[in-house]
Amino acid sequence: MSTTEDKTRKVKLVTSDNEEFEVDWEVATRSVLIKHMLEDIGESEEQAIPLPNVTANVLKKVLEWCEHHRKDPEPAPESSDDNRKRTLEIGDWDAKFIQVDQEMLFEIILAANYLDIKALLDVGCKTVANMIKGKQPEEIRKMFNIVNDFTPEEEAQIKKENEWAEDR
Amino acid sequence: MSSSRFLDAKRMITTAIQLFSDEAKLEAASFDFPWSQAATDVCDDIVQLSELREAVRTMKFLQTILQSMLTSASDVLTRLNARFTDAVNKTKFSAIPDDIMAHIFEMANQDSDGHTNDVGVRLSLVSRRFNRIATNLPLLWSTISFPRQSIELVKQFVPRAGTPCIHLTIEQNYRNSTLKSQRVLGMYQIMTSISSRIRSLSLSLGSYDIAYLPQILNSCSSLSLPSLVELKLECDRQTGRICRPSIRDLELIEIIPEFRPDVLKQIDDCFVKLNEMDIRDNTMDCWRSPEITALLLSLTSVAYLRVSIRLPRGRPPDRHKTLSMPSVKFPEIESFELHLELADLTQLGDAIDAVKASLGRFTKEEGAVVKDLVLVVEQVSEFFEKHDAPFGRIARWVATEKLRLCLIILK
Repeated sequence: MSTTEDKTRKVKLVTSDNEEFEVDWEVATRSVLIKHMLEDIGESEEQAIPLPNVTANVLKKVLEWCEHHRKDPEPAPESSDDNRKRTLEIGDWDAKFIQVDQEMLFEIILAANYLDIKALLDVGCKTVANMIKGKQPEEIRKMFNIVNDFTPEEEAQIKKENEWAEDR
Repeated sequence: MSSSRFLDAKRMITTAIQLFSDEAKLEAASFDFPWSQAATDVCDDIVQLSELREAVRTMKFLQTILQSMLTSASDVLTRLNARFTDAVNKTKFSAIPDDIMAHIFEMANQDSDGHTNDVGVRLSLVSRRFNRIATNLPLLWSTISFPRQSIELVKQFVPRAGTPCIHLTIEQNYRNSTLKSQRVLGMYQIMTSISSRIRSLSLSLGSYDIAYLPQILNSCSSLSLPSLVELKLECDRQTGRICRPSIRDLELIEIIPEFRPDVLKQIDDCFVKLNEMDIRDNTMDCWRSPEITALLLSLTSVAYLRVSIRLPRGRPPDRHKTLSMPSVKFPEIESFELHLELADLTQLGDAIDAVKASLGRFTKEEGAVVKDLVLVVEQVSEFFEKHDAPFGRIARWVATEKLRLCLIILK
């Protein structure tokens, strides 16, 4: 539970390319990783949090998301039923936010995973899932520049194993 | 372009890339490019008119060459940029961990056609990495739908759907063929063998299945469904005895199965659709009010109930047209949706009076407050005059009761 003092507190973050960001505690702690690190270092306001896996341009984008969602409630723990009923819909603001090039999209996913920001990770994953949805294997390869590393025999075997029903 | 000129151009581009590969050299070249000063010197040196004419001609030619070189360099730059972006994306994409990829695959599967495992199949054909992740993801293989998938394919998918999350659909046999009957029977046998892992089950039995119903019941005699949460049964005749312990969601279409009372007591989400088909065919057996009432009365814990039941027309009203359920209580009811089939809209007034009386009973006897009312009226008669409908009367009633009414009239 955050206190009033926490909400006015500033947090320093240092990226892999040595850029320093000073943000509100409430914004920074959308990241579970940063929240735990802050708990570990205690009240020391001067101590900067190193983020060796995130570059400045990516952190800037991630912090933009955290700023917008600073008041959001903590995500509830998932049950198996939630998993079943989840949709690929993305809110208007998030949809606009995630309209970035592929490099930035993957960077955001990697950063959200590293920083443990589940809701942002979900936005990134849903975006990629929407890109994959309904596409044929060749289209997916082309879209993400994936090399088809199957031998022709392996590919034929997989296709044969997954053939549609004869009754269809 | 001839091959020697092409090779020359390629060599020049390669040399240029090597020459300026060092960032310091690039910077020096941009600030100390020698052409401006040299051009000034050349211009000053030439005095003769003929020499000037020749120099102008030469420089024009040189300008053309340089412009075409610039165009080529721009093309190369565009292509290099595209390849660079692809290479970066490839690196970043392959850096996404397998568990995140699995999460993405599961999401891609969410909105897919619920009757096939086509997302899993397509993803498993992209690359070896995709194949490994997809085939180890039970959710992608947990939807089994017969006959859209062959028995061979079902056998292939069943081991992949490791956890107890299988959604199984067996449709009725639509053709009178021994081969088809054998396949349907084969599916019931598979169902029995994986029954402990079935979470959602949808079974449909048709007239062609009746002939081998005893065999189906026999193959299901040792059926155990401990993980079953959702059950959908569809039938055109009454059949079967199914008693399962943990069902919460129940969908019944044209069937009232013989459940144990304790099974029905724990249902919290139920959809019942009865007497929808062949209602005008007097030779067809309809579900009777006492049978329907008995089923609904057994749903003592239901929180979300959708009922779509047609009461047969053209029969004595005391037997069929009234569905009397005096013991059913709905104290929590807030919204009410009613579909009416009327000969014409002049009957709407009487129908509204009946609805008012019912809602009045909920309010007075059970303390329920109905806020939302949806009335869907289907007018059977082709002759319809708008002024025949008692809209003014409906508006006054809605205003008095403070109801949010949605009135939909179908023709």
